Formats: sequence, C-alpha cells, structure tokens
Amino acid sequence: MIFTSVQYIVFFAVILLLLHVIHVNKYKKMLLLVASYLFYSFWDYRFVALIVGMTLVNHLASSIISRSGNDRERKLWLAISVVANLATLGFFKYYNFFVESANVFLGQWGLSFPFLNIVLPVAISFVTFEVMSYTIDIYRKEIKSHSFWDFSLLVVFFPHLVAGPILKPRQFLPQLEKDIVIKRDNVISGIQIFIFGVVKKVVIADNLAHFVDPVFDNPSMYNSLTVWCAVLGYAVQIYCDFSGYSDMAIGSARCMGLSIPRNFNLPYLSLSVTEFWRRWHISLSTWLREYLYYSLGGNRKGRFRQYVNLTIVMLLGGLWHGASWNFVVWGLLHGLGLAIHKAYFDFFLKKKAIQSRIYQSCAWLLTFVFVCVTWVFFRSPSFATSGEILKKMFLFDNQGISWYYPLLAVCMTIVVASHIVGRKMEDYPQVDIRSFRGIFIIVFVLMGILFLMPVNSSPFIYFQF
Amino acid sequence: MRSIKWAVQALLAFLAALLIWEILLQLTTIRSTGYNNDPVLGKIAKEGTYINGQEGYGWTRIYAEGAIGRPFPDASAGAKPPGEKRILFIGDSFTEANQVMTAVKFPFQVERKLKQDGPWRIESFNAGRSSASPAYYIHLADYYHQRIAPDYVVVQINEDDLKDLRNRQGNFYIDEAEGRYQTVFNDSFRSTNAIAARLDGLYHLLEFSTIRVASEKVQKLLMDEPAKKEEARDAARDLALTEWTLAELQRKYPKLVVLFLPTIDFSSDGDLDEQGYFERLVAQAARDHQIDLINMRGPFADLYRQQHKIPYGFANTQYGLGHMNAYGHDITSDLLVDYFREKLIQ
Repeated sequence: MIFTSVQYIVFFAVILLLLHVIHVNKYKKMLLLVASYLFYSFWDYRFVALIVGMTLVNHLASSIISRSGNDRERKLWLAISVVANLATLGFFKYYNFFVESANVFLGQWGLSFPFLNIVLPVAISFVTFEVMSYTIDIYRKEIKSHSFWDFSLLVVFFPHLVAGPILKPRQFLPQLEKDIVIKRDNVISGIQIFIFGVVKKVVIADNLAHFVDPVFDNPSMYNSLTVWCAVLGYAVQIYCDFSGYSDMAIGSARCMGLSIPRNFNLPYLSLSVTEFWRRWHISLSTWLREYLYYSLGGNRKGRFRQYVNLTIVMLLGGLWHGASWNFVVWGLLHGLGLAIHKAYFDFFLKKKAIQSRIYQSCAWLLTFVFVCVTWVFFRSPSFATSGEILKKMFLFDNQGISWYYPLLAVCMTIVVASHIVGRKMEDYPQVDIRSFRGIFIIVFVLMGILFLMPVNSSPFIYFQF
Repeated sequence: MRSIKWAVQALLAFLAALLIWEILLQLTTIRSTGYNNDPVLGKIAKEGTYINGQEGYGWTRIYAEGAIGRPFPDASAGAKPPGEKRILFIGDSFTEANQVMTAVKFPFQVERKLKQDGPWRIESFNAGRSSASPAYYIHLADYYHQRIAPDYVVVQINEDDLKDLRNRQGNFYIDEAEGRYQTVFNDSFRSTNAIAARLDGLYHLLEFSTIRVASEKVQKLLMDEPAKKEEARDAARDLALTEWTLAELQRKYPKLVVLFLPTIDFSSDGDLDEQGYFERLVAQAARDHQIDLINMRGPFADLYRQQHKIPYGFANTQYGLGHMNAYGHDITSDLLVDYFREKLIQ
C-alpha cells in the first residue's frame, strides 16, 4: 500500500474517522498500532513477526538498562541489543553480499560459502535504526523508558515505517503521552503537505524516471550530453521522490496531530558537502552523527581522527543503503568529501571566511557537481555501469543517441524555483481554503496531478532500502 | 449562508480550473476530433484538427472519411485530371502519423520529393488510421478504388498488424473456416478503451481533453491491465493466413507495394538485423506472390549504425519505442521515392 494509491487514501480516511470517534487516548494509540501493523502486512505479512520480535528484544533490553544501576549490566544489555539488531540486519541485507565478496577471495583456493535465498524484509534498515536509537537513548539516560505499546508505535507508526524519516524517540514519544486530537486545521494543513509530496513524487519524479531509467540501464547507447542530462535528471528525481515521500509522511502525521520533523531542507542550495548533509535526509545524517560519529569519538580525539571518523561514518551510511560496492563507493566519496571540506574549513575558512558571490557560486557549483557525480554510483545497476557513465560524462564521447527530454527542463525549472521561493519560508506553503484563490489552487493542483501523472508510475526509490 | 457561499466559490473554482486545464491539455497533450461510427468505414475520426503531444508533437488536419492532411478527391468532380498520378497510402497509426506535423508524414514527403524530382503530377492520399489492419485494407479496397482511383497503393504493415488479424473484438478481422478466409466488418465495435467501450452513450465526452486524459489515468489506477500472454503461434497456419492476406491485397490493389515497418531492439546491437516472426512470413509471402516489398529494417539499422539516430520514438517518450519520428519518416519517404521514381520512369 503506497501513499499515492487509492487504497492508502481510503485506509487513511478510515483511520482519521476512527481517531475522531474514539475518545480514550489509550484506544487511539491501540488503533494506530494495529493500523500500522496492518499497513506493514499489506507490504509483506511474513515479516510482521520479525518486526514484533525486534521490538520485544529492544524493549526488554532497554527496560533492563533503564532499571539497572550496574554499569556492566547496562553495557552488556546494550551490547546484546546492538548485536541482535545488527545481526538481523546483516543476515537479511548483507549475507549474500559478503558471501559474494568473500568467495571472490576464497575462490583462489577453490573454497566458497553457499548463497542463501533471502528475501529482504521491507523497512528493515529503518526499523533497525529506530529500535537502536531508543535503546541507546535509554542507555545514555536521555529518555526514560516507555511502555511496550508506545515503543512499538514509535517503531511501526505507519507514515514513517517504510522509508522514514527516522524518528527521534525524544521527539516522538512525548507526543504520545498527550491526547491525540483530530483538529480541522491540522487536517487541512496535513492534507496540503501530503498533496505537496504527491506533486513531487507523481508529477516530477515519476515523469523523470521515464528518461533517467533507460539512460542508466544502457548508457552506451547515448552521447555524453544525454548522459549528463540523465544524471541531472536523477538528482532531481531522487530529491522529489524521497522528499515527496517524507512530505506525505509528515502530512499524514500532521492530520493526526502528530509532528514529524522535516527530512529535507532545500539540499541543492548547499555550498559544501557538510551543508548538503545538514539539508539532505536530515533524520539519517542526524542518526549517524548522534549514534555512530559520537560513539567513534567525534571530534574529541584530534583533527586527523575526526576526518577518519567522518569517512567511516559515511562509508557505513553508504553500506546501510544497500549491499553493493556502488553504495560503499558512494558513501566513501561523501565521507572523503566531508573530511576534505572539514580540513579545508579547519585550515583556511576558520581563519578567513570568504563572502564574495563568485566564491559562493563556485562553492555551490562544485558541491552540486560532486553530489551529482556521486549519484552515478547510487543509481547505477552495477559498478561497471557506473564506470561507463563516468567515462561518458568526462571523456565527452559524442557517439550515441542525442536525447533531450523536454520535461527535464520543466522539472528542473520547478525545482529551482521551489528552492528559491522555499529559502524564504519557514514551513510548507499553505493556502486558505476558505477563499476562492485557495480552493482554486488546490483544485488546479489536484487536477494537475491526475493529468500529468505518467501512466506507469515508479516505486519509491527508498523502498528498496 | 456561509456554507452556500463556500459551495458557490468551490464550484466556480472547480470550473475555472477545469477550463484552464482543458485549454492547456488541448494545446500540449491531446485534442481529439472524436469519432463517428460509419456504416462502411467503421469507427472513423471526425473532421477537425487533431493535436497530439503525448508522443512527439503534431497537428493533423482530418477531413471527411478520415482523410489525413488533405481531403479525398471531390466525388462530384468525375474522372481525375489527365497525367495525374495518385498514390494511396493505407496503413495504421504509423501512416496516420499523428505524432509529427503533416509535412513530415512520409506520404506527403513522397509527393513533395517526387514533384521536386521530375515533371510528374503526383497526388498522395493518406488513409492511415489507428488500429487498422490488413483485414480493413482488404475489406475497403473497392471503396478506396471508387473514391480515389489510385494508380499506386502503398500498404504499410508492421509486426503487430498481423498478430491480431483473427481478433473478433477488432473493428475488422479475418474469419477463418476450413482453410477459407474472409474479411468481416464488426459494426458493434466501439473502442479499445475499456471505459469508453462500456459507456457507449457518453463516448462523445472523450472529445474533451480533460475527460479523455483523466479517463486514461483513472482506468490505469483502478484497473490492473491483464498481462498480455504471448500465445503460442502455429507457424503453418500463420503462413497460410499471411499468404492469403498478401495475395488478396494484391488482387484488390494490383499496383501494390507493401511497406514493412519492423520492430527493432536498438539496445542490442546484435539484434538489429534479426527479422521478426511475421517479418519473415511477409517476406516469404511477398516472394511467393511476386509482390513488391520494401522492408525498412536494413535502412533503419544503417541509420542507427552510421548516424546513431533511431527512427522510432520521441524526445518526450523514449527512443526506440512507439511510432516513427521525423528520421523514420524521412528515410521511409526516401526509399519510397526511389521506388516510385523507377516506376514512373518505366
């Protein structure tokens, strides 16, 4: 059940109605929990038990950690939960990847590990990070232990379940302690945010997929300029696809009076890789910083160690996205980008900040091109294809079909305009539906979604993670 | 009172948005002239200007009897002027070619290029029609002879046209009984669009671009398209039908040239020259009946190998898939011009 389906609209309307009718908060939370598991079952009912199991193990560990005054015991239970979580993720997501890589090495001696026919459970990466953040927060005494039901709802709350944003327990759990009230203003505002997300996903990302996919599938057929256009197209597509999903999640939650923080903040305005990661997939970069980077020592062990930590964190962040060398290289490149920018900042910018427009334009261009080039690894179906695309991009091979997709220009213009306008806005754009202008905008946009959506929609990119 | 005011505002806003989208879609996406159910021609486009921006971009003026780009000769004018040579182009949506402007469509390029080339008085008539098949061309041969009196007839065929010849759901099909064939006009046919076919009385509403586009999208959203099963083919039976079809076309149109537009997988270099199933059958039937056949596979493959240009597909869809683009029409018209030049000199 994807957000852009009729099924979800009906499902969500029924949940809203029931939340409005039920008066006892405990039952409202129960309803949300049942609805969330039902939502997950639509994806793959076989793994509901796995999600419940992970929730149980982490709640048990966190409860013991919370109650215990013994540091060794607290550490032991933290280690048990972290190992259990990573082992689960590792088995489902990385077993075959490591076997494949190990077999290349072991093959020299005629040895090999067997491959297993493993189905990747939907949302496993997000759920793993969510449960770990709760247990670690309890260990760090940043939050108090919550009931199993509240914790379960944090993990499987359906708007964020499949592809985030990863919720911070200290932001979300206190909201569950208050009464969940369906208010007209929240519903109107939430629906508008949801529509905003649908436009990004259906009108922009799905239309761009029709150009990007064939070029990435067979780059040798196209000339250099077309390949560059496809890479630019993918930069826009993944932004609109993923931020569109996040907007729909935020909108759905807001309708229920619950707040999910923004996951994207105009990332392509960034003037450095560091700034990019403050604006792109904010919940993931925050998670990596708070639970991995700080655990590795952060910046407390000297400059060189900080650069190494940044690289390691991003490399693991890349691997979190998927079991392939493409993601490892993507993460490594971003890690190196962050480390180099940090070093540049430490040795040059810290002493003398440069404010000139030309410098800022160059910094923006360099950052944007760097991000686009790294997207090649993120999107390519194989490492060999990444190499082929980079060769086309930088060796300016004019052999091949010239394909200049007109909608790319339209979508780029919309995204650039929205970045410029969005810079001045604190929250999502909202219209007053009591006025003619407001109703007209809503109706016009809704009709536009229907008329402009491609006949064949693409799945959300982040669902594969 | 306030809620009435809001309802009126909402209605006006809805109508204003609908009107703006209707204009936008008519100019950029699709503007259909609608269709008539003619007792002889079957489902045929009404007169008017058809605009297509869903695949490529083209404005096509449609005249009475579905004539594309130019009206058929005036029926009251009697015999054609002396010295005038008429070429009739019949085919499916590849000949109709709503994806390109009229001047780019290969029938008109043939006329223009031949007129530039020599002293010939050439008139081309485009009777291309979406979803048409050889069953239709055979069935309506007498009609076109009477109406146009062509000196030459180009029948455009592609792989898909021959697949569905026996499909009784189509507007025209070939009925096969004990090895004997005959073309059949299915006058109950309305549309291949499932919603339109069911709502016969509301069919004219599809002339509104908003309703047409919305119905396509809603249909896609609500109905799962059944996976097309590739049926196992009986080669001997297919060959017999293809042989009969080509022989019948030749009998009906004695000065016939068959233009075959092949399906080519451009993503795989090795497959450029590999002929399709019906392509081989058509080639064999054309040889057996000594019918002139122009197969575009070779020229299309060369165009790709030498110039990296693909004759099918558009910038707003995907190259390699769908209808012919300007490259395809150019090269097709060049080959037909070579063919007709030779015929006319003879």
